[in-house]
Amino acid sequence: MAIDSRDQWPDLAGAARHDVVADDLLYLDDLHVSVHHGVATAVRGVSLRVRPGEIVGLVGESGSGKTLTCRATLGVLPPGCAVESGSVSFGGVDVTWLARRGWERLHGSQMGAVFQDPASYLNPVIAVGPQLTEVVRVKLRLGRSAAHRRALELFEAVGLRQPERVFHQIPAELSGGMLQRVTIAIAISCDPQLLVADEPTTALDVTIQAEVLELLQRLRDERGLAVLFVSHDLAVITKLCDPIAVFYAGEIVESGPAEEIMQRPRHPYTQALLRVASVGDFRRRELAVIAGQPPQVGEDITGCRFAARCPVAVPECAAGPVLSVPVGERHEARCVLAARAMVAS
Amino acid sequence: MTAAPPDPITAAPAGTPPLLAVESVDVTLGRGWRANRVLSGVDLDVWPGEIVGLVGETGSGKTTLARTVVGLVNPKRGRILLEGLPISALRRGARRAERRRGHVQLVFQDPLRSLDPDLTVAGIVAEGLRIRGQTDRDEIRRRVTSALEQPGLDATVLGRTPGQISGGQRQRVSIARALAVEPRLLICDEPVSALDASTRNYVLRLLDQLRTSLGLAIVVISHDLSSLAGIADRVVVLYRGRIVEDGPVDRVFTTPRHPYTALLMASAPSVRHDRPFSPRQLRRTDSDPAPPAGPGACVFAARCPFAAAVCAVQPPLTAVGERWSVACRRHEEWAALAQSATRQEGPTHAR
Repeated sequence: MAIDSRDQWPDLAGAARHDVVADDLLYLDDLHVSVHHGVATAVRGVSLRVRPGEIVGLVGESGSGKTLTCRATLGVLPPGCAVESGSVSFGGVDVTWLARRGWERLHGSQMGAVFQDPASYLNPVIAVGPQLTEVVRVKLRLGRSAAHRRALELFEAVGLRQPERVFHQIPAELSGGMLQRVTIAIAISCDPQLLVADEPTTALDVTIQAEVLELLQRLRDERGLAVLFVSHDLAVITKLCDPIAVFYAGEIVESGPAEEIMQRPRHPYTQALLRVASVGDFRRRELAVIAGQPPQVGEDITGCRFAARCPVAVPECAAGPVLSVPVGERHEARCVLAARAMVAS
Repeated sequence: MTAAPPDPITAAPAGTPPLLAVESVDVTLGRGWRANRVLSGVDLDVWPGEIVGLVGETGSGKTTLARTVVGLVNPKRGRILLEGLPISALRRGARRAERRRGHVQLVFQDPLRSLDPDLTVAGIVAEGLRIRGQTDRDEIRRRVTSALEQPGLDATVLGRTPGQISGGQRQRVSIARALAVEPRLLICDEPVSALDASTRNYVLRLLDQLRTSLGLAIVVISHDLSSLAGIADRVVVLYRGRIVEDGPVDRVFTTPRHPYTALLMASAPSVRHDRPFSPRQLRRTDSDPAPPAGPGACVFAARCPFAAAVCAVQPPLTAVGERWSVACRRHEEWAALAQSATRQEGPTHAR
C-alpha cells in the first residue's frame, strides 16, 4: 500500500464522521482540553473555524490556552494533557481520536507547523537542506534529485537569497530569521492546506518579523494556504490576520473580523487589550494596565471568567455561565453586557 | 537624590555633567583570528533622572555595551566615566571595590535564569547588601523590605523562590534586587520582552516612577521598540556596534533621520495604521545600485536602499538638532527618495 498520495484521505478506520459545513478546512467544536492528568481544564469550550486561504489569529495572555488549542489541532498535546470533550474536524473529518498512524499521514502533507524557536526544532548537526529533503522524500516519495530541486524551489519561495548555499549550511550558521524561513519551507514542503504557526515571530527582530509576516501573507495569496496564527501581541495579529479570536483563561471571549474588532471591540477584555497594546508612536504617555491577575488554570468560576478584573462588571456576570452571542456579522462576544446591548437594539 | 524634571528635553541642563559618560569606546571580543569587533566608537551620555532607550537588533552590541559599562568587559579603546570617575581604567582591587559599591546595577533579561532558583526572594535581595559589607541583620531586613516595596511587592513573596512566583513578579524581584544597593544608574537588559502587554506596561510604568522618586538614570536595552513605549526620553539606535542615531524619542520616532531607524519604526507592529513609510520602501531590492563595500564603508550600506558612492566612508555622528545626532551622509535626501514613485509599488503589501 502506498504510504500516502496526497489526494487520498488518511486511513480513517475508527474515526467518526461529523456533519460539518463543507467549506471549513478546520473546525473545532466545543473543545475542552484537560491538563495535569485531568485535574484541571485549561481549554474550556473553544469553537473555531478556519476556511481555506484564511489567516486566523489567536491572541491572548500567556496561559490563556491558545497554544494548547493549537497542539490539540495538530494532535500533539503534551504529556498529561488530553481532549476531554468536543471535537477537531479537519477537511470535514473528525480527527479528534485519530490513531498515531493517521496523524502521521496528516502531518506534513495536510498540516504544517511552525513554532517559536526554530533552532530547537532543527537538528543542529545536519545541514538544513537535507532536513527538508528528508520530509519530501518520505512524504511525497520524491527521488534524490527531485527532492533537491524541490528544496531549492522552496528556499527560493520563502525568500532565502542563496538557496544553494543555505542548503549545505547547518542551523548554527544561519540567523534566526533565516532559520524561521527554513522551518516555514519545511512546513509547506508538501503543500499542506493548513499551517499552524505558534508565536513564529516572537523570537525575531522587528525588521525580520515584518518580513516573516509578509511571507506568510504571500504564501496565503499564492498557494491558498490557510494559517492558524498564534501570538500574544495584538498588534501582530491585527496586521496579519483576518478573523481573530481573543482568548482569556481558556475561553474565546470575542471573535470576528480583525478590522471590526479593532474598531468596535465588544468584550471589556478586548477593550483592555487594545488599551495596553503597542500603539507604535512610542511617545511619552501614561501606560495603561489591566488590574488584577488572570484566574489560575482550573479555578472554578461561575459565570464570566473576566468578571473579577472587569471594570464594568454587574452582578449578573457571576450568576451563571455566559454564552457567546452574535454582536455583528461573524462577530461574537462572550459578555453579558454585549448580549444585553444586542437585545436592546 | 533629586526628583526628575517633567520635561525630558530639559531634563539635563547643558551645564550639569552626565552621570555616565561613554567616550568613543571600542570593544573587541575574542583574540587573534577570532577577534571580533563588537563596538566601534560608541559615545553615550546619560544624565540623572533620564530614561534612555538603547535599541538594535540581535548582535548589534547592546548587551556588550551594558556589560562594558558595569565593568564585565574591558574596552579596547576609549573610557567610561561614572560621575566623572574613569571606572574603565580601574583594575583589580579598585575595580572590584567600585563594583561592590553598586552604583551601577544591571537587571538581566530573563529573571528565571538570572535569579538563583534555590534562594528565596529575601535571600536574593539581601545578597547585594551582604556583598557590599552590610552585616547588621535588622538593617538588612529593613532594607530588603523597603526595596521590595518600591516595585510594589508585598512581604508574602519574601519566603518564596523564583520558581514559585509569576513572570511579572520575578521581573519586579530583579528590579528590587538592583534597587536594594541604592544604585545611581540602572541598566535593564530587555526588561519586558518576556512579558504580556499588561504586565509589560506595569513594569515600564514602575521604571518611570522609580526615576522620578529616586532620581535614577535608567538605560533600557531592547530589540523591540515597544519596550520603550511611553517611558523613554531619549533613544539611541545601535547597528552593528555603531550608534547610528541618538535623539529625543518623540522626534526620532516621528521623523527618523537614519534609514535604519525608519525601517525599525516601519516594521514595528502597531494597532494603528499610520506610518510615514512601509517597510518595503526602506528595504533593498535587487534593482537598487550595488552599495559601496569595503571595511571603511557605512555599516548600514549593505542593507540600505539609498546607499551611494558617498557612503563608502563611515559617516561620523553629526548633530541635526538639539541633542539629536545621526550617522548618515544622506540624512537629508533619503526620505524624499523613499517617497518617490518607484518605491511605492510592490508585489504585495502588508496592511
